[in-house]
Amino acid sequence: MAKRLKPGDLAPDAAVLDLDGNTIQLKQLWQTGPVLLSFLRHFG
Amino acid sequence: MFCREWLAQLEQHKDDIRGAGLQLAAVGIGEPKHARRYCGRLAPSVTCVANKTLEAYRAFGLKQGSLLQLAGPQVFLAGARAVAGGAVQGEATGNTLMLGGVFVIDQRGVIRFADYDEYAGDHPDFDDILAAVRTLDLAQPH
Repeated sequence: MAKRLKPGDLAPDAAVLDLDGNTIQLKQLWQTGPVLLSFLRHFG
Repeated sequence: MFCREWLAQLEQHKDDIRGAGLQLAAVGIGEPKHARRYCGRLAPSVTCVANKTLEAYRAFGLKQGSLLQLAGPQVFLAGARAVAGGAVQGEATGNTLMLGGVFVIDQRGVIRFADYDEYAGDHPDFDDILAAVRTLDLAQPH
């Protein structure tokens, strides 16, 4: 289990799926500019 | 219910968030079709992606909640708040045991703000996020 991250840490990358089902890298979300990234508990 | 509440708040505060120089994005547990239906209806301004394997959650140090974190008194209070605000519980996909989190990440991939849910429904205050972001120069290297 990864430890909690804190300001100054490098954000980890991971493969996720976009709305069309294409695999993208999470880092693509911030490569175009700073992002407020929320991790939801689930969809529902 | 809590995710609906949070997405609705993101949508409601989108102008302030964007005004602070941030894009809006969310990761959810489930299939892309769930993200499309759920985010498209509740938060069209938020870029949503799906992560069924939980790889991204684990990488960010997010974990499953304990019984107290998922069904304790604080959760019932948060539920009452969410219901009072108009949120409803829909059919949940993915893993309802996971706790969420909110991060501000700059363009170089450095985390500038981190908030982990301490229990289900424990959202950070938008004013706190925006206040923290305003003290940062996100365009400069950390």
